[in-house]
Formats: sequence, structure tokens, C-alpha cells
Amino acid sequence: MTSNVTPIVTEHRTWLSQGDIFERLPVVTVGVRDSALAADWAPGPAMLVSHGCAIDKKHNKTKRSTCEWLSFLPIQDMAKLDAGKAGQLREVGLDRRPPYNVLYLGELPSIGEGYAPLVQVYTLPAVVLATEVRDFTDDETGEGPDRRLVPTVHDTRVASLTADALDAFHWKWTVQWTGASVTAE
Amino acid sequence: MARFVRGQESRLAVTAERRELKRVATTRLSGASSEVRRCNPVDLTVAPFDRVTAFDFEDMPLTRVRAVPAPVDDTDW
Repeated sequence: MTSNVTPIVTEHRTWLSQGDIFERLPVVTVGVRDSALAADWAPGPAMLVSHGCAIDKKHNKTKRSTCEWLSFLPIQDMAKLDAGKAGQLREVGLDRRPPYNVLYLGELPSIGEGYAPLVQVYTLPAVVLATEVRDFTDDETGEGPDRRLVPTVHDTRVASLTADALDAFHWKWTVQWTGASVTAE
Repeated sequence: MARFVRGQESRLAVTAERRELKRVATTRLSGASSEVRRCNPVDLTVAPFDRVTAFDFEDMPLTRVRAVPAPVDDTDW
């Protein structure tokens, strides 16, 4: 059991990272309204799911960022679930067991207790965040000097997943989309 | 037999398409739990944070694999 003892979120870094939690981003939805197909967006909380390698990838010659798109999951309100299901989800926490299509996120700063439905991934152009590459020192990254992507507008991040929560996300993400249970060597 | 004036057939086709969309959406929700029906993700009148997603706790058979890091993608795509 990890649900009650393992922190799920921590402070976010300056650069964009998989698992960053935004308090307000455009959340895109397609549905049926008045019997007609309709698309809409509304501001809401969301989690960045693009992988760090894709976020920070640079062109070989120009060294400019090649990141044009960023993918997100909408975050939804635990209080809207019935009490039984919410209790089960809290009890599962970060454990590697069902439900596979949802990640419990716990209490999120400025947002409240939330969860992310893994099947509702949507993509925004990176220009929405006016991303740009900045230099970071060895001390800042802890992984050597590097050039990483940062948002320059609409940076409403309030937290980021911990390493343990990212591991749980990777496991559930793989199971949900491939049916495979992956164990790293 | 009904006779159509110009443009009526296409309007009827659009109406049929919309009716089908509504039927599909209604069918999808008819099997959902009450809270999902109340604030399903496709309901555009519900704010994103207030939506509910259906999920269950049943296990399913999984393929167990070992993973190694993917090779670095250094292609300019």
C-alpha cells in the first residue's frame, strides 16, 4: 500500500516536465449539443503528459526546440464521485492495480482533491504557452548543464508529480494503452 | 410518394445525421452510472473539473514484459 504514505505531488521545476499540474489551461472537449456534434473548450485544471525527451528535443543543426505540441489530461473533481468509488480510488492510491484508466492525484494546491482520466488525453499547440528554450546549470538540473523548455505565458502550474507518482503513472499509462504490465530491468 | 424540393433532401440528411449522433450519445450514456450520466465528459455544459469519468476496479489479464529504455530519437522529425 502506498496510497496513504507516499506523497503524490511536489513543487514543480522551472522547466516543463511530465506530470506538471496546471491550475488553469484550455481543456478541449467534443460532445453532442442539441443533437449536433460540437466542440468546445473551457479553462480547467490539467496535467502535462508529454514525455521529457519529447518536450526538450532540439533540432540537430539549429539546436532550436522541435516541440510543437504538448499533450495533457484533464483533472477532475473527486467530490463529484460517489463516496464509495472515491473511497476505493483513495485506497488504491499509487498501487499498481485497477482501475487502469484513472490516476488518483490526491490533494492538489489551489485545485482540491482530483484524479486524471487517462483516456481523455488532448493536445494543445506549444505556442499556447509561448514556450522557449533556456539554459540551466548543473546545479539547477542535477543532471548536468542543459537547455530546457519553459512556458513564458499561462504558466499556472501549482505542482508536479513526485518520482513515485510518475512511476505509477507510467505503469498505468502503459497498461491502459498497450495491455502490457512493464517491469523495468 | 413524397416529393422533395431542391435542398430538402440534404436538410433531411443533416437531420438524420444529427438524430443518429443523439441516438449514439444516448446509447452510450444509458449504460453509465447515474453520476456519469449527470456529468459525462461529453456534456459541454459541465465545467472540466466537475466532470466524472467512468472507471471500474475489475482486474484484467495483462501481458508481462520487461522494459529497457528506448533508444534516443535523434532524427529531425
